[in-house]
Amino acid sequence: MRINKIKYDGRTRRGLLALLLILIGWQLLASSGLVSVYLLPKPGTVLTTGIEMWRSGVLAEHIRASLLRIALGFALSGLAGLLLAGLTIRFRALDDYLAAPLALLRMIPPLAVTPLLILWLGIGSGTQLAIVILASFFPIFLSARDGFSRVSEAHRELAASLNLPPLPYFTHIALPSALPSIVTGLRLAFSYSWRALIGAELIAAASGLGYLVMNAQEMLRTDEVFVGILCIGVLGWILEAGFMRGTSRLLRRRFPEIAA
Amino acid sequence: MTTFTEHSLLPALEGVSKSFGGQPVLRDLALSLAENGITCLLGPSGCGKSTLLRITAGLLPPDSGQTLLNAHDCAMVFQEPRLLPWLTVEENLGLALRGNKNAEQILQALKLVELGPDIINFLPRELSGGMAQRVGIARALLRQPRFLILDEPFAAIDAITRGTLQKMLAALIRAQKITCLFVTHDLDEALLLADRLHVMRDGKLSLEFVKSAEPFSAATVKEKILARLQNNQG
Repeated sequence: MRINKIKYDGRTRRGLLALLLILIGWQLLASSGLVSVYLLPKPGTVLTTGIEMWRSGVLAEHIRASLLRIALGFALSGLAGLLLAGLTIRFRALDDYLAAPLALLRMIPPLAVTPLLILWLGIGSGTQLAIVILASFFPIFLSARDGFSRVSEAHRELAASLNLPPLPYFTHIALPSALPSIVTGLRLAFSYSWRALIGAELIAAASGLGYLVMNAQEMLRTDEVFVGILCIGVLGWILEAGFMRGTSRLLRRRFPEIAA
Repeated sequence: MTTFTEHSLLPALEGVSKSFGGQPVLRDLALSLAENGITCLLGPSGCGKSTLLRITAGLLPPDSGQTLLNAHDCAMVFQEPRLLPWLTVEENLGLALRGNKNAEQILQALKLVELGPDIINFLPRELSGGMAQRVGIARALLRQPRFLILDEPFAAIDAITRGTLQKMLAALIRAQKITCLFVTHDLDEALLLADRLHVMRDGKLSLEFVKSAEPFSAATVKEKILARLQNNQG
């Protein structure tokens, strides 16, 4: 236990040191006069701009728009992915029908369909939501299908010997057996969909962090571009770490292998 | 003092054959069980005992012949306790009630296998091997089965605990009036528990021992069965 704690502390310390070195490097480069401040504002300027944008409510508004899209899109694709995975395992014929179209769709990057989505849904939340769903659906669906297909023969036999009806079988055996795969899929899906959402907001949106960055670039406000980019990185990091910590805490007792 | 009861016979299998990959495992088998008693099935590892047991429980279809027991009347205890590791003892037992928790029934089942209510919130990994197998037996009993089918349930348990569990099981079966098919590769265990003892070899069964009111020498029966098995291997 103590050894883990020391390792963790050392890791955190080294990570913070690396961030500090990047910050110092950035400050030195921006102060050296080698690069124009319009292209590379000083860290202090970016911080001040960020505080101003937060106080005026502009930053919070764009963060809220992006978070709302990611939450809604992620919830919808999670439900759809789990449901379809369960159905394809239960009905093999459905799996046969869907295998080819899904394999084709999976190879198309979500951003490649953005022009089509703009035509169909316009420049608004509908398009962003669709992008998040397209980006996160496949990791969730594929990992859940893989997980559901890994229910052990021993557990299937147990269910048969107990004459377990379909619903308790799903909730008590199939879903927990698939959980390690599902958690991995959700984690992957989150990072894919976060990146895809920001990409879509750069192309076609009237709000959100991607839009904020694009808009600031058009106004030649490099400091605001930096605020937007840093927010994207920090928020994505916090959300992913929160997801990992949350699942770890939630599953610690019953699924120690996932929590580890 | 144990009193002897003569058991009538319940036909369980008729003309059952089963092959895997063209290799016959069971050949035209018939099996009758001692009603409200323990029928033991003895045989070396890999002789097809578990296949026969799964067919009897309705978990595996035979290639030919038929199972005469209703699968809904059967409950099974496996070699390993087979408790779901993510469910508490109470939830594992609730599975036998088709996912519905009934605290009173669950506590009653735990009492039957000599376990207290203090373990209901334990996870399987927090139980000892013997306790986990008791919970596995309690789960089977919760189904209120007419037939209890056990697949070497004490094979992985230490000798001292095994002795306690064997006595507990024998008393339970007789008290609850359950017809039991018990598979083992341990001759001493078979002789201790069996009202009827079948030996399995080459995919066939032979009746070797029926417990009677007459006193018998376990050593003599054991010698006879061992000689039969060794002759067969030779």
